[in-house]
Order: sequence, then C-alpha cells, then structure tokens
Amino acid sequence: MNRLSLQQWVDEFLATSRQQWLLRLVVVVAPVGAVLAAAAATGAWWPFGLLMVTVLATVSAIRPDTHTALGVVVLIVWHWSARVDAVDTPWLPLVGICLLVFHSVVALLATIPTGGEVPNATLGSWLRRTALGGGAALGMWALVVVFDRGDAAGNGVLTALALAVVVGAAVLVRSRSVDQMQ
Amino acid sequence: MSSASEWRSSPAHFRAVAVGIVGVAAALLFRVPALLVMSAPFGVVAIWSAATRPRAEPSLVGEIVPTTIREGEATTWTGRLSNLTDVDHVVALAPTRAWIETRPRSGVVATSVRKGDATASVAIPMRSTHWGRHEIGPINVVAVSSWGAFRWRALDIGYGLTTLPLPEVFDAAPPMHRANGLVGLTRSAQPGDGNEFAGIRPFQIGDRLRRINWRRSLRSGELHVTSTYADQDNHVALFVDALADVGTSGGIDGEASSLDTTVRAAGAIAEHFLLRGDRVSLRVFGSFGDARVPPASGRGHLRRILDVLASIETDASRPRSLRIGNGAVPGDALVIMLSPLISPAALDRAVSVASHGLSVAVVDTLPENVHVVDDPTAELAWRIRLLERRREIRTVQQVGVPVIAWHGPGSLDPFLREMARRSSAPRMARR
Repeated sequence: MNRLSLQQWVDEFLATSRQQWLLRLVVVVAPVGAVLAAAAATGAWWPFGLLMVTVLATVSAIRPDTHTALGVVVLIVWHWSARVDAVDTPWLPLVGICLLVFHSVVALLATIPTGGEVPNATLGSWLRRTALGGGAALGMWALVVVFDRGDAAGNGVLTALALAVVVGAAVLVRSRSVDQMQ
Repeated sequence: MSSASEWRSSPAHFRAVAVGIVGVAAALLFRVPALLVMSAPFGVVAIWSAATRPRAEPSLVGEIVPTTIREGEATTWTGRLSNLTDVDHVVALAPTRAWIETRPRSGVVATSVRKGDATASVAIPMRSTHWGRHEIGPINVVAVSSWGAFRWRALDIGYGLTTLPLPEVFDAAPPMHRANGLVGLTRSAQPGDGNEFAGIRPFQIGDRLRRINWRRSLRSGELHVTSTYADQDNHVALFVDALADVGTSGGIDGEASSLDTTVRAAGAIAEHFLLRGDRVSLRVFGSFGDARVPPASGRGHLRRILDVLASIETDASRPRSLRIGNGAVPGDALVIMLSPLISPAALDRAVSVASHGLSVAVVDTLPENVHVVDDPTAELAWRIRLLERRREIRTVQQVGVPVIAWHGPGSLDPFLREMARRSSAPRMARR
C-alpha cells in the first residue's frame, strides 16, 4: 500500500459519520450472530467459520459495493445446510433474519458514500421492508415446521408447482434485470 | 451540463437473485427445507426489486447560485431531478476541491423520495475560503431504487465559481497628492467649481451669478463672489506583482501567502480610493491572460478590478514583459506597486516608473517568518536571499522610492502625507 492510498484510507476513516459506523457495526454483528445461532443449534463452535465470517463481513462493511457479502451469505447458508438437520429449531428463522438484515444494510451502505448520512425517512422505509422480509422468513419457517411435524410425504405435484413458481419468478426477475446485470 | 447513464443493477441485486432464486430452487430440488427458510427472504427481495425497477430515465438540472462570491461566503449547488418513478432515494456527492468547503464536510447529501413524488432536489452548500477561480464538481448524482437494486448515475459538470478577494481593512487619513482630474472628492490646489471655501474675491467675467456674495457686495459697493477650490479626482495606478507566491496560504481563515496579501491589499486600496470617487487602474504583471483594467471610478469598476484580481495565477515566465513606456501611466497618477519583492524585476520597474516623474510607492507584501522552513539548506538560502533583498530595497529607497510594509489600515499614511507635502514643491523629471 503506497502512501497515497494509506492517506485515502485514513481520510475515509475520519470522514465516516456516526450513523455509518453504526450501520457498519450491524453489517459485522448480523452474520456473526448467524454463526453464533448455528453454533447454538449444533452445540458446537466453528472457530474457523467465525473467523472467516468476521473477516469477510468486515470487508463487506468497508467495501459494501462488492460481491464479498455474497461470500458471507453463501458460507453461512452452506454451514447451516451441512451441519444442522433440524428445521423446527427457532435458531433457523433467526439465521434467516440475520442474513436478511446483513444483506439490507450492506445494500443500503453501498448507495451512500462514506461520510454521508442516510435520511431518516429512507431508514424508516428500509426498516419496514426488512421487517416484511423477516416476516417472509418466519412464515416460510412456520410452513416448513408444519410440513415437518405433519411428516408429510413428498408430493411431486406440489414440488413441480413450487418449481414452476420459482421458474416464473426467475423469468420475471430476468426480464426486468438480467439484461442490465453487470 | 449533465451526462447520465441508464439504470443498472447493483451487486446487492445480484446477491438477492443468486441467493433467493438459486437457493429456493436448490432447496426444492434437493429437499433442504432449512435452505428454503434462509433463501425465501432473498427471493422476496429479488422479486420485489425486479418488480419495482424504475423504467423511466430521470432528468437532472443542476445550477450553482450565485456563481460569484467573496472569500468566506457560501454558494449552493442545487440538483433538481424529475421523472422519478419508483425511486427510493437520491444521493449527490461533490468531490473535494481545494479551497471549497462543503456542508456536510464529506460533500455527500442524500434525500429521500416519497412514494408518488416524481421530483426531488438535492442541495450542497459550499463555502469558498480562497480567492480565485475554482472548478466545482463534477457532482455525482445517483438515484437508487428500492432495496438498492438498481442505480441511475449522472455527472453534473462544467461549473466554475469565481471568488473575489475579500479586501483587507484599509484606510488612509492624509490628503492626497496633487490632483489634475475634473471631478472627484479631493480638494485641488486650484480654485474652481467645488464645495470647499477658498475666499471672497471681486467679481470677474465668467463667474456664476449664484456665487455672488451679496452681503460683501452691499458692504463694499462692488460685486464680490465666493470662490471655492475645485473638487478633483486622483488616478491611482495599482501594479500587482504576480510573479511568485511565497509562503503558505491557509485561505480566509488561515495564514496569508504573499500573493494573498498582495491581492487583498490591492482590493482594499482600490476599494478605498474608488469609494472616495477617485479613478483606479490596475495592471498585473506575471499573470496569465488579460490583466489590465483601465482607469475608471465607481462601484462597478471595483467589481472589475476584483474580477481581474481573482483571475491571478502566479507566472514567473514573463518577467521581460514588465517594461512600460511613459505613456502607459499618466504623469499625475499615484503609482502603488504591491509586491513581495522576491524578484528584482518589481523593484526595477518601480525605479523605472519613478524616473519618469511619477509618484511611486512599493508595498512590501512578503509574509513574516517566510524563511522559517524545515529544511536547513532552504532556510539558509532564504536568509541569503532576504539579505540581498534588504540591500535591493535600500538601493531603491535611496533613489526616492519608498518601500512600505503592508500592515493594513494606515499603511500608506506616511507616504500619502509626504506626497501631499511634495505636491506644491517643484520636481525634476527625466523626460
């Protein structure tokens, strides 16, 4: 790192507003909370994962407009899917909400340069949206728990219908965004 | 003027699509319910973002009002965006520029767009802390859709801000030297049409009837008139040395470099004499571009002078263009040269002008402690140069050109007093 870029880092550090510090703290705390929830669900620590997630989340907090955050989410989702079998644990929706909060705050930070203050009205609307997304996680968990406790047998038609919905959603998303995606 | 790009997706949208759509599909295909719970919110975000993607291209109109200010004053850049649909918030970023302070300090201003509003405006107040012409921008304006999924960028470019020097406080108490102008506030030594009482004398052909002093005329039995001194103006020719800028400039709130002092002092002197009704001309040597202002009076002329002072840039490449002929400055002008006297060219010129019989004063604008630097070699070099400079100043003073250190109000008083005293004495000039 040359002297100029070091100076830029120092300037950026000093220019960061209090609100941005708080948002960046949330960016680090949310995925760490997800890892801790996974640890609580499995009853075993995952030190390497905790370290990796903390480092990647910190990088995401510093440079939110990158794909580093995707790595954090994929790492946590992979860990949970590989290590936790139970779906009726309350830690599962908590992990989902933590990941959504992480995603939302990183997305918000990416739109405001360092030193900027997010308007309160914008913060309020993002909070409401994130709460709705969190509700979706809770609703999906409740649905999964109902199916799990009912010990419902696999239903090919239902699965095909769900996949059709996913494909439809994918087509919608693609038609409105993929053509412009970088 | 602004250049805009189209709506583009962000890494956040890519993340939502990758985790949401792919995660849910994988959960269904591989029967991993936990994956479904974790991916479902991302799927909702991805669909929500895509469904509310703005289609229309916003338009941006930016302006800076006012475009000419004084040092320490503020102006505001305002960007008005229209044709906003499904936009969550708008962010404007003014890059850091020398001598421009933005509020907030980061230059980042964000404003929320209410649902249904098709317009929004963002404003960045800016304060200029140094005279000169400053480039503002490019101002980066970004409109963001919901969830930060899509962004539209525009660059607002092409703004210039002229910061006029804030003249230092200056006043001069002594009367001016001889004046040959036709109108003005300075009392001439010659009788004429004016306001200041000169005496009562017998009526002569050509005297105005309203000047007749009837009381004296009745007493003496002969017509007498009240005579006055003519009100005349002076021509003050300001010569500004912009060959070098010595010292550290901290803007209006900090230390002043030699050029800062020169420019502000020139502004102060021009303002003082112009408000008295005198004529002031300006010539900047060593500066790029047209740097001459012909003699004139009035407040509008002060603005012209400050405009030229604001455009000064140091230029040591043209010391040879300093020569002036006798006709360049009228013989009755009072020449005030402002210079840090680092280059001997300024003193040469002062002597040259004085040798043509003009009243010349040199105002020394070199900051104190300019020789105090970290590098011992540079400090030694400065000390040597300052000794040489002292000798050069002594030589010039021996020729009869006063060199006065600038201290603000009253700096020129001794010189002006001396000029007023000399005005009635005979003078010798080389023609």
